[in-house]
Amino acid sequence: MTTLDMCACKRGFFTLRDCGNPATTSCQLCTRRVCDQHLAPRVDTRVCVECSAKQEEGQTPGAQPGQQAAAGAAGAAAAQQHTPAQQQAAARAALGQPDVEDEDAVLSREYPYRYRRRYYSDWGYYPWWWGTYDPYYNDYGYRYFDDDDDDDGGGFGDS
Amino acid sequence: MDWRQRAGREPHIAGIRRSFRDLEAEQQQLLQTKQIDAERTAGDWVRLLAPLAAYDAEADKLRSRLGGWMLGIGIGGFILAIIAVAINPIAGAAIAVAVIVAELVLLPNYRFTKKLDVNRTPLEFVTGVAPILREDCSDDGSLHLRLDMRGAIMNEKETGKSQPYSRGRYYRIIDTYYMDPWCAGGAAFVDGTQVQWIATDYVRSQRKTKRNPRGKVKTKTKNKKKTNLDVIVTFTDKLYDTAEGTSGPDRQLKKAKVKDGGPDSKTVVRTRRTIKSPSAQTALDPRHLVDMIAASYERVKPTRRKKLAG
Repeated sequence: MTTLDMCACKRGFFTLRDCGNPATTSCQLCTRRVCDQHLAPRVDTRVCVECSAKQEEGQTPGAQPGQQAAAGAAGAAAAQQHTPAQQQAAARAALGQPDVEDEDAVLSREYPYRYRRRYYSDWGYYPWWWGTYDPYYNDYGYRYFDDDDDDDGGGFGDS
Repeated sequence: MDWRQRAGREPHIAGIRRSFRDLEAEQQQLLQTKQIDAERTAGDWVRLLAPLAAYDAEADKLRSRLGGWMLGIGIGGFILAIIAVAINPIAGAAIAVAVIVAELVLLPNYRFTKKLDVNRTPLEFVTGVAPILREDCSDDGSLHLRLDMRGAIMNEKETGKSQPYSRGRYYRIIDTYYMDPWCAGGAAFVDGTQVQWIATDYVRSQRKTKRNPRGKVKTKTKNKKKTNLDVIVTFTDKLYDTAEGTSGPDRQLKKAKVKDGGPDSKTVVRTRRTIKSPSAQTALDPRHLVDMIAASYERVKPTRRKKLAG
């Protein structure tokens, strides 16, 4: 039996599914095999977009890894801004959204993954799972089809 | 110079026309017609609209600066010319001519940016939401969008006008109401789900007049905006069925209606959210649409086990 070397990242926002592309490299953080589309644009390391989003969680976008600031601080900064446009820009930054005028940042493969991670944790959304099981996503809190017939009778019931 | 390099810089009078010329023909046409109804991939929408948002931000900055300059030169020049006329009439005339020339140089640029001014709300909304929806569409999946960037304050969009009334110091107040459906769209997801939405602004423009203690009549106009976002999500009966309850947190929806025609028919979830904005210029956060689609997915459950990819 041959195992196809497929990308381990999951696509989707409201539902998660397998990427379906052949893997071309490995992520240096999670060691999963990923395709070119799911590689974060880094200069000297190969990191998948999901690990990159995980790393940036809680950071102010644009801040260096050593200068992490809590997203709450960005929210507080938003309140100190004067114009609605400045407040919106600060709020966008706090949620990990790039400046909408920056086409490259918006089109970057990283943006939806960063947004996805923040949205799931900040707004309590559990996506439907349509992919292959991967323990990497255990902290996502996803939902899946639960077939009653699968009940094998085991578990921690009273005996 | 690339538009992205210019976007962050201070706008320049000569540069704004160059920025306009640097845009593609379709983008230039869109700035003139201010409306589009088309179907393209999410990436193509971002590539089309992001440069327009950058151009419009640059043009708005420049127009506001030009307006200030024209007002300053006009008032300053008038005072200076009057003083100069009293001292030396020829110098006064020279100053007046200089002021007129300066105004004539600035006016065409002001009018140029004013004519091509668009409502940036649809641009910002779509560029924020398209990359997220792209994740649930297939690679060649397209978004159908109908955008209106003309703004709400137009005779064509007026829906009613109140009779003049008085309140407090204002002896004459007239409310004019406008309805502006500025973004309607649709997308088909890989799991067979169809999403349709429409964002409509309801603007109340209040024109009020008062007389100050010195007897001077002063009039001001205030605009207030409320946005209704209506979303219809149609789930395929092959994968989803209506859930008994809602599985997510309270998403502050004004309306949430689930239509279930039985196990072999599609489940349709209709939701509405009303967003009040402090000013008419405030853009709509893309999170509202994301929230409402998420709320729809929280009202269904899968009916089978299946693996999706791509």
